[in-house]
Amino acid sequence: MNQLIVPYHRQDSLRDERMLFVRTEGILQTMIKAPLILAGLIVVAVAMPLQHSFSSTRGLDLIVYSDGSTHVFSEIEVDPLQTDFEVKLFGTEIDNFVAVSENDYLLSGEIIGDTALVETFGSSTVSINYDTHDLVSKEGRIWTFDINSPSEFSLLMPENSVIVGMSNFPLSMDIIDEQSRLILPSGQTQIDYIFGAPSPVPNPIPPTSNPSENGSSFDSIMIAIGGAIVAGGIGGAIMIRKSKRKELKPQMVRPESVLESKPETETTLDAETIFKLRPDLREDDKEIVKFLYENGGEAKESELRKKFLQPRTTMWRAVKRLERQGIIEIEKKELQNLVKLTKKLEEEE
Amino acid sequence: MKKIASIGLLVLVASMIVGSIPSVEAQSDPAVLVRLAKAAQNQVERQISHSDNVSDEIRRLFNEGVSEVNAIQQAIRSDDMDSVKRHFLNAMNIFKKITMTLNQTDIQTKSADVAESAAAPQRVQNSDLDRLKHLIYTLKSIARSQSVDFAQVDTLVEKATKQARENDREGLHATINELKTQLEDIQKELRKHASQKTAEREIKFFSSMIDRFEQKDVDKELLAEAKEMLKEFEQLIADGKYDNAKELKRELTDKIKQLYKSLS
Repeated sequence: MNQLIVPYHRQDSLRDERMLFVRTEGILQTMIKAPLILAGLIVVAVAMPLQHSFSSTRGLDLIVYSDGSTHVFSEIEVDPLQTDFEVKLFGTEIDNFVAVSENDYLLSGEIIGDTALVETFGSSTVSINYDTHDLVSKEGRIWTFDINSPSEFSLLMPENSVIVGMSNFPLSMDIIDEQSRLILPSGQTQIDYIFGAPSPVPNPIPPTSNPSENGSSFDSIMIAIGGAIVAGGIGGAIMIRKSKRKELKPQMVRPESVLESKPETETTLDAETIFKLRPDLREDDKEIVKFLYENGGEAKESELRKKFLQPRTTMWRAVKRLERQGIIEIEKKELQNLVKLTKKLEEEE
Repeated sequence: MKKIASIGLLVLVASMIVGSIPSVEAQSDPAVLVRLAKAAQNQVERQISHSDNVSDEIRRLFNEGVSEVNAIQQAIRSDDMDSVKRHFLNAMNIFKKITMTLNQTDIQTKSADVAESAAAPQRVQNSDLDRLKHLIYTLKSIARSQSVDFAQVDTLVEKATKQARENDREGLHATINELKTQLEDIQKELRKHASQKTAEREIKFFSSMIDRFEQKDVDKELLAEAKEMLKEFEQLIADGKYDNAKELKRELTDKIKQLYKSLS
């Protein structure tokens, strides 16, 4: 006799819970909607640069003075729809704090500890200048500059100082009038230096490798793989952009840009043409352009400093500003910066 | 369609990953590292030659440092960037170690401190002047649209620069103090001018924000309060009651912030 054991209570409970059997075949196609994910990723990709664009540091320049104090100049993009913004300062011992809007308006600021609260009221870019006494310490003859920077920054070392210890790799470096100027990456950087007699700077060894190969092997592979994947995308974008430009070209009316319609010549643009093409140029930058033009289209950065009686970094900032706008080019000549007016300048879009 | 979507997904993910990799590594120049290491080597060599009691350990370390610098150059020639960085870091560590050891000896014998302390007042004064020059530049850029006279300040800067060059410390001290007083007066004048302009900017900003909120779905009651406050704020500014306006501005700012937050 076959005994039939029926776990009826279990069957009941199964019936109560109403178990649903789902076919797993094709579940990916059924449950995951690729277009939806794509749309979501597009939103994320678009939002990422937007998030970075507000309250992000556009430029950070530091000058270390020979007494260990440091001048900080920082240009920050802020949300124009906010009434104020908080900026973290490098230290608590702060002097000469000045916050200026993009229109050179003096902005009110309040310093609490190592934070400054600046009333922006519609400004989109804020320039901050101050001196701090908290970035450099000294023991015996050794001075130590220590910073945790949120962004890449430039650092002008004091005259006659020699770096004897360094925790980070500089991105670039040059020496102007016995002062080292370094471009350093974000993050923690410690530099030990001492004051000594100026020593002749050895000639640099020309790099034998492609700069893009300088990273560690892992980074190189990552960049190479990523680069290859995005290359297609970028190429496509460039093609689209180019085709758009081609379409737009006949419609663009540029009566001012006389030189653009001419065949390529080796003459320098005159100051007035540059001012027409760059109507928003600052007055002090215009003076530099005028001087360069009158000086045959070029001058050493040190000559500009002497002419305009300006500190090194101030002039350097002005020169970099003009370079960003495509008005000048900077060339290295005998360890100095040679500033040249560009021969071609496109109208700003 | 699925294929296109998959390719799109792949490109997006890849671009997001690549975008998040810092471009720092890709930009460093190996020649810079050699220049820095060589400069440190020369300085340490000079320090050693000027010291009376240099231990064998320091000499051994220095030789090790020199070898590391040579190894950097060798690695550059071999195109081995990992080794370049390793040797650079080693060389700088060695030179720092030597400098610190020599520094300790100097502190104990107090030999280097004499030269250091003799140079200190000059450094402080020169730095003081450099800081003021920067401040003047910043103030000039702010005062461009205003009739602030910097002629006296410019004369004082020229005088101070000459005194610094000639090492006239007493004269420089007096000129720097005079400059500081002049700059304080200029800053007061600029702040006075700025406070009038600031009120105009604040009103313009509050008005534009309220206009923006009116087109959005925000708390109508809160918006009405903000509008009322703005009217009051404008009146206080017109009447020159800046202290009362300051208090009201704080409240109005909070209201605007609340409304702005409700949008996101």
